[in-house]
Amino acid sequence: MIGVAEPVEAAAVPDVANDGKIVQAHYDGVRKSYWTTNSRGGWIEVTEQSLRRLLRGQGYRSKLVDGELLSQLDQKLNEIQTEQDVAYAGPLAGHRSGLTECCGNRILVTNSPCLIEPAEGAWPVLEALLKNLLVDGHYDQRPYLFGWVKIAYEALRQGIWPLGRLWG
Amino acid sequence: MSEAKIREILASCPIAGDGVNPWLFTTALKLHRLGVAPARIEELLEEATSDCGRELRPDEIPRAVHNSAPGSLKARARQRSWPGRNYEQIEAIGLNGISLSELERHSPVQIGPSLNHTEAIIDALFPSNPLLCAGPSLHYSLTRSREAWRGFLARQQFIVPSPMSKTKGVTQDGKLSARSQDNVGPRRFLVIEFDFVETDKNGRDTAAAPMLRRLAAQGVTIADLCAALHAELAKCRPLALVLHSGGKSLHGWYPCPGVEDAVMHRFMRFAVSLGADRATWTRAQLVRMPDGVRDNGKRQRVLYFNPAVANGGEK
Repeated sequence: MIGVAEPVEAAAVPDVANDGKIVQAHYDGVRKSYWTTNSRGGWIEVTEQSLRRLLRGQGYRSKLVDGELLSQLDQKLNEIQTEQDVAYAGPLAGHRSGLTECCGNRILVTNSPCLIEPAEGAWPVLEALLKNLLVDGHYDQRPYLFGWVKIAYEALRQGIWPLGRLWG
Repeated sequence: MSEAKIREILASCPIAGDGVNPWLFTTALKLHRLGVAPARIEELLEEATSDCGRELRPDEIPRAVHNSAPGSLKARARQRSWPGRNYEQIEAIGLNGISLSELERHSPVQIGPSLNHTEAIIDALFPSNPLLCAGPSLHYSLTRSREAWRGFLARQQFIVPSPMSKTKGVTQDGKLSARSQDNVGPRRFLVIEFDFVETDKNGRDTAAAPMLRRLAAQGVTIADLCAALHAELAKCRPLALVLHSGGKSLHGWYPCPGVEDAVMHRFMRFAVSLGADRATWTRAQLVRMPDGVRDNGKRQRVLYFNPAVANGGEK
């Protein structure tokens, strides 16, 4: 069969804003503030008041109607606080921007690592340094280093951590 | 009132397939707010839509003008408006999702093309003997008990995907009808229809055209895209049935007995952002009869059927 046999929790259904994009917001339980995306796709920390303004702009009604206890906007804020909370928000070495899990805690990584783009060309300084360090006349250990660096670089790019390798 | 402002509002009329009907409502609303008389609004809307790419139904403009009038608005339920289409997301799902043939292959019950299965499918979708509204065209439908329909359903083109509460109800125009908001019962299934076209009836590109061409270059057909989108929605709610409309679209039936409208509205908003037709949100909306026959003679073939989830279940 395709898909689920039981409906997922209502809060797990993507909540889309009026522009059709999924509303991205998380509650930072430590700082008691919220994180949302800016116009360039990065994360910014905002106060509850700012988030209210942003949600109103995305079509959430702030007025109560028909005997509601909470407005759509307040319901959304509650959902963000209780369903989309994070234990830590900030940069995390080697991890790309977005949600990740660490030791059972939900982490919001706010910045991606800036990886140097490889380019073909001469590299005399580094070449001489590595040769002096890793070539002793009997053994050339450079291929091992290059292989190690290659796998580490690919892992960082893909966001996949290879298992069983001794780092350091 | 500013004539320039009115001209600017009227110039935003979309082409057929991009939401002419909702545009009529929002435009009439803006013109009401500018103090334009209802009769004049009707004239202006007729002029603005003359080149939209389809014939408007006779009551389409008067209804939009009536429903958007200040007095009528107060009586309307205040739900969030429908979102726009997120073409980036739709394309990503199309590229990475399942194809139409995979959807058919994963069907728990394989529906063979040689026999007609309408009656058996309706028995599974609507057990016991509820009142069902069905009909051979959009303009003619009847409400009868399920048993009274037995043997006749395969010849119908359309059905209301929720049981009816009584045989007749009062329409918005105050007339008695077999199908109205007044006599439709609680929502039993939410039917999601995905339909994408490259060009409208005047041969002009739709907003989806660039995305559809990129997908076609990767070997993804419109039917494959619709199948992938239903598979994506099925990650949120059980999918009971997918049928081919006999035209270009795929309709998915998602069970929701006893589920609050607010829960289903969120799901529908997600579906609309992925390109679903918002018209099927209306409970009394007619949708394609499973394994029925379209007016062009083509069978509305059931491609995927999972009777085990037809009764829903809610967390």
